Amino acid sequence: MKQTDYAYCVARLRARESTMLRQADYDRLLSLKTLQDCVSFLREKKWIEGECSPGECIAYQSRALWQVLQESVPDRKELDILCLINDYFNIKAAVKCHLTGCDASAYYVYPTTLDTQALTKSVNSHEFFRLPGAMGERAAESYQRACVTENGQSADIILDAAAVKALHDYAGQRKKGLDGEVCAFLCDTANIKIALRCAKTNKKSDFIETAISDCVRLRREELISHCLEGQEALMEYLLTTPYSQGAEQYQISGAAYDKWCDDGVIDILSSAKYSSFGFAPVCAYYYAKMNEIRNVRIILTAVESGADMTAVRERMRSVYV
Amino acid sequence: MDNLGIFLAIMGAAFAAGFAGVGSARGVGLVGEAGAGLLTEKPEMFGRVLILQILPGTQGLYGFLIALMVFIKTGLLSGSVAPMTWSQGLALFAASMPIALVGYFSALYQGRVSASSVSLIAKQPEQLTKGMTMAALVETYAVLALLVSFIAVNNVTVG
Repeated sequence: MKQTDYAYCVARLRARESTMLRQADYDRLLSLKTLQDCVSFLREKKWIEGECSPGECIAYQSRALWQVLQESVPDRKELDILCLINDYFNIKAAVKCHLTGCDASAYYVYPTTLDTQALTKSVNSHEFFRLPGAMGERAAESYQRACVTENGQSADIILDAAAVKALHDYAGQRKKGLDGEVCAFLCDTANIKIALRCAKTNKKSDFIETAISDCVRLRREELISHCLEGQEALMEYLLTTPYSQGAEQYQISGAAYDKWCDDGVIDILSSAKYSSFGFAPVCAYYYAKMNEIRNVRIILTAVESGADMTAVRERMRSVYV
Repeated sequence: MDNLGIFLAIMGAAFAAGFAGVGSARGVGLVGEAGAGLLTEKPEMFGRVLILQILPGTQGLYGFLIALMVFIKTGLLSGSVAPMTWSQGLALFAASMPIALVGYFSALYQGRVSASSVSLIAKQPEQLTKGMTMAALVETYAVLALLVSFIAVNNVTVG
């Protein structure tokens, strides 16, 4: 795909970027006292259209984002990478719901490249080969592990590791692009998070070996060995890596680490603001819009529950525009 | 061999109109794609997009102008083709090359600059003049090539 093939898409997204919420808008939202005021403000900003609940609007924004991207990109296959984590999450949901007899549709997240009805059907009928590529194999493996061990976590790690490996592979293919850089960052930060959790809960070696997959800017063996030595050793090691800031944030809380990761992605993609062609501005818009949706959700939830706005401000993701 | 001169001259005219035209078509097409993306969201920007889209189209006109001059020179338009040696034909061919090559490449690059300017005005509509100026700077070289081709074609003596 040539960079200039994205001319239509990038120009359209640039026009949409001009309607995204800015820092001043967030400040205004944070100063509002009631949910009704927030909804009115968002309606004024054309973020909410018609009569719908805040939850419905957030779901609508996610769907609309995906629809615009699908309509605009020259090849929809290019968007698959943006859904990768959601795809694997949905497979996890389908496997778990099949084992526990729950309705999986309540747990599916969007956007996803998988047809969720077909996914439920494939998992329920154990026809994992119907899932695309490596997803089928990993799903079958995860399902078998869950049946044998009756431990959901040990089944989950197979799919989590598969998702991270897919990010790693994509990063390897797109070394020169910002999208590849984002995947490398997401791959490493996901592995770090898994390692930190494993160290915190004193997981055994075989569990850690399965859970942590190849990293891009870290050595997997080093990460595993420090993880086995315990939380302190792992933290000391991470402070010597390019992800030291993330490690510091994790010491504050898991939510602070998640925010650092989301902001890191926007940081990497910030130079895409000045590109008129290529896939990077598409990635940047997707992640920026997802952050915007997260921010609005955080604010609305906080206003509804009367939470402390200082803490909310600390959780707010960086603004791209 | 008798017609080699006129063959070379016509080939020069074809290159001038052809290359510059293809370059312009690609440039205008690229800006059109970007423009369509912007107009999907902001249809009221049509006038501004049109200005940017026109810019890479001029090279095609320059190429056409030089081709026309070669046709006049050779008598193709009047229907009485002037006798021409191969060196005269080659001279007209060479005279057509500046606008053929510079026209082609400058139209492509101008198209990219104009498409980028579409992205610029998508976020900041008031920056249209700056976008136009940047795109127009690429035009300078097409105009210089046109002048070179114009003077050269004009000074080739035929017959």
